Amino acid sequence: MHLATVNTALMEAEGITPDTAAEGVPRDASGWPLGELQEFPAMALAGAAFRSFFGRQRSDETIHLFGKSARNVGITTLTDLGSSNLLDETIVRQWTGIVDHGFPSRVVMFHGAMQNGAVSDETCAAALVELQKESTDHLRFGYVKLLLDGSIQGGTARLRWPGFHHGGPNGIWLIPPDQFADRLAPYHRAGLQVHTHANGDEAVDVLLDAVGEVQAVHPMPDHRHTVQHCQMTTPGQYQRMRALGMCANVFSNHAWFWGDQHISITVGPDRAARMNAARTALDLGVPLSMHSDSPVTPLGSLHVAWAAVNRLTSSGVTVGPDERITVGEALHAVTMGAAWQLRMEDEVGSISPRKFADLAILEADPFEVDPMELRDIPVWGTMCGGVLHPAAGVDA
Amino acid sequence: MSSGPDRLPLTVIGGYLGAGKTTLLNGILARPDGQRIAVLVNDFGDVDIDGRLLASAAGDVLTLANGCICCSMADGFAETLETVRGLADRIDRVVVEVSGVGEPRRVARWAHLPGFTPDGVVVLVDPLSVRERATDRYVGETVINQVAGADLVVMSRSDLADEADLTGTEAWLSTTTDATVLRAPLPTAVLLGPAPRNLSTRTDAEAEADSIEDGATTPASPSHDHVSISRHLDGPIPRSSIDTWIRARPGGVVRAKGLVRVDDRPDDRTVLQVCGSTTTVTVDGPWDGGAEAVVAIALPGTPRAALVKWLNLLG
Ligand SMILES: Nc1nc2c(ncn2[C@@H]2O[C@H](COP(=O)(O)OP(=O)(O)O)[C@@H](O)[C@H]2O)c(=O)[nH]1
Ligand SMILES: [Mg+2]
Ligand SMILES: [Zn+2]
Repeated sequence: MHLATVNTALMEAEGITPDTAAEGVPRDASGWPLGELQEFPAMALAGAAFRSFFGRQRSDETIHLFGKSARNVGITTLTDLGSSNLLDETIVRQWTGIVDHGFPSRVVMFHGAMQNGAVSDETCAAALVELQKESTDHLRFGYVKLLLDGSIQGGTARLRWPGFHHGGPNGIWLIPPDQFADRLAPYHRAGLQVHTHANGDEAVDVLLDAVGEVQAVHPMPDHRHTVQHCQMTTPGQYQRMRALGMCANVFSNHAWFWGDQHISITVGPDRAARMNAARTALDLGVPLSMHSDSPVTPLGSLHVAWAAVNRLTSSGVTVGPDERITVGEALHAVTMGAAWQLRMEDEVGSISPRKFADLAILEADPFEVDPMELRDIPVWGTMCGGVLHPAAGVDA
Repeated sequence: MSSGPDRLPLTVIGGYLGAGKTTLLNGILARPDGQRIAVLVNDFGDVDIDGRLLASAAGDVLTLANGCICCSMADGFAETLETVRGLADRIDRVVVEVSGVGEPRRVARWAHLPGFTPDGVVVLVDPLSVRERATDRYVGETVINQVAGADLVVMSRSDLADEADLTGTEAWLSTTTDATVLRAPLPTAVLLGPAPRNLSTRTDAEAEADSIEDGATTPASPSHDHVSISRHLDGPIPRSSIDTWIRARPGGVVRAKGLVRVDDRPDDRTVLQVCGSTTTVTVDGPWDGGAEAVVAIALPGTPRAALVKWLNLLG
């Protein structure tokens, strides 16, 4: 979210006038704001409208809609990757009250440890170990999310030399690199799995150093710490991830949604061709999954798989054909690959005896259709724990 | 109209980890000058805001999620500021301690929300380590951006650093930032800006007690050895006098604030503000009938006469 557009009535109500001194408020020739509000500090000028927009993101209704969206696109396990503060009892109760056997999807809740405030990571880790005991078949706790850098399209990811193709400054750190290992360690020691947002290759360097450091001090077999987004990760970094026992959750949809911009603006053609290197990850033996980062790109595993198989940009360029993976590999990544990274490999991710009866019900066989049409396969709905959930508009 | 004259001044305090932000804030809170300060903390280091310094521990330090105000999860900050705004009758100003890797200049953009007025970006540096830190592979650019985005750079640890560290750091800073560079310790009015009370919220009784006459200049309360003067104005001043005033600013002025009416906008309140190297002129709402005044604070040794002459340029 970087931009909001508001109308004249709202600008009048909130007092957005030529006197508004805030940055990120473009104006017409006479100095009147045009209604575009760039970045949060300017978007917040929309006052109650802004706050209620974000307030609604946390409503019961939104959680129900999240489940319905999953059903519509054939997803049977969702993750909330760290936007929730699970130290807040009311948030935990909200989810436990809604996500039960009637809910169309299982949900894996990550604690957003960026929101710890003055609570120490040690205290937080202990609380999460307790909370983990409240996990049910449908709702899982005991996972941690940290963030290291920003985004590539936003110019805020931390890149190694030579930095951004557009020549802009390097990105921002959300946790100081020299503190990262200290933040990771308490969760690692408690046996909690940590997924860390790291878009740029420099952020991945910091993450790998930290995992190496905490492993040396406190070896933890099978920790499965995961790099989230992992967009610029190099083959050498993937080799190190393999050695460290880490997983990659790559953001394959970027090829379609920003591939052209990555080629021409953000990182240039050479690095764009090597972004979200699913082929490299698999060849080097790193457990692979892929995500939509909804709402950054629309929820949907078929689209995510399609993007990794085809690496097509919106203008029709195949960006980095060498990093394409097969339909089988892509479907494995969004099913068993994801299950592994959520420590649910024995429960979900494949249609197997003694696993939950969780199915995505498709109107065509993904191995039969043209790989270019993978994302267009209609979804009938899902089965979650043996309960059918027809998609919206499906005549069940 | 949601903007109004009762805006809370918001000062942003930045600087790398360990630069001394929290220590500085505790120092400010420990010095009772009558200002009621809401402290928003975005950085949780080893030194916490000292709870004993808080009038009521509940509610006066609002903790922000670490990382939150500089990144994409920043929507929570709007709610925090809304909460603070709801306390406006209990507090005089707001200070935000930014995370050690945050960019204080970016955070200062929030100070334009209704109910607030920006009151400077103050960045702390440790003279013993900042130059080396600025070459660090991972955080060098961050440190340089923090300093470059400051209005006022304050060197902490002047008690530990020797003169060579301090002058060396000053020389480095002069090539890195346009900001005014000062050495701690400093009075609260320099760090955060003049107390709002010295301007529009002054009651008639207080004004009389100080026997301020229209147009007269008078010494305000002495703050350490810094020179502070204020002047009350009567009625709108010419627009052209503001430009003259900005250009004629004497050396040594580190802070100034004016709440005035201007001849081409006599019904609105115009805010003149100097923080270190930065001067801004904004309109923050309709004139509320309060006092029209300007306050200036300058470094020790600045001739009072020069300041009097300067403030007299307005009008
Ligand atoms: N001697 C001395 N120590 C200081 C000064 N400022 C900060 N410190 C110390 O430096 C350390 C970090 O300070 P802190 O305020 O937590 O830095 P912050 O991370 O910027 O908030 C603490 O141990 C402080 O006591 C100072 O001016 N002089
Ligand atoms: Mg601090
Ligand atoms: Zn992310």
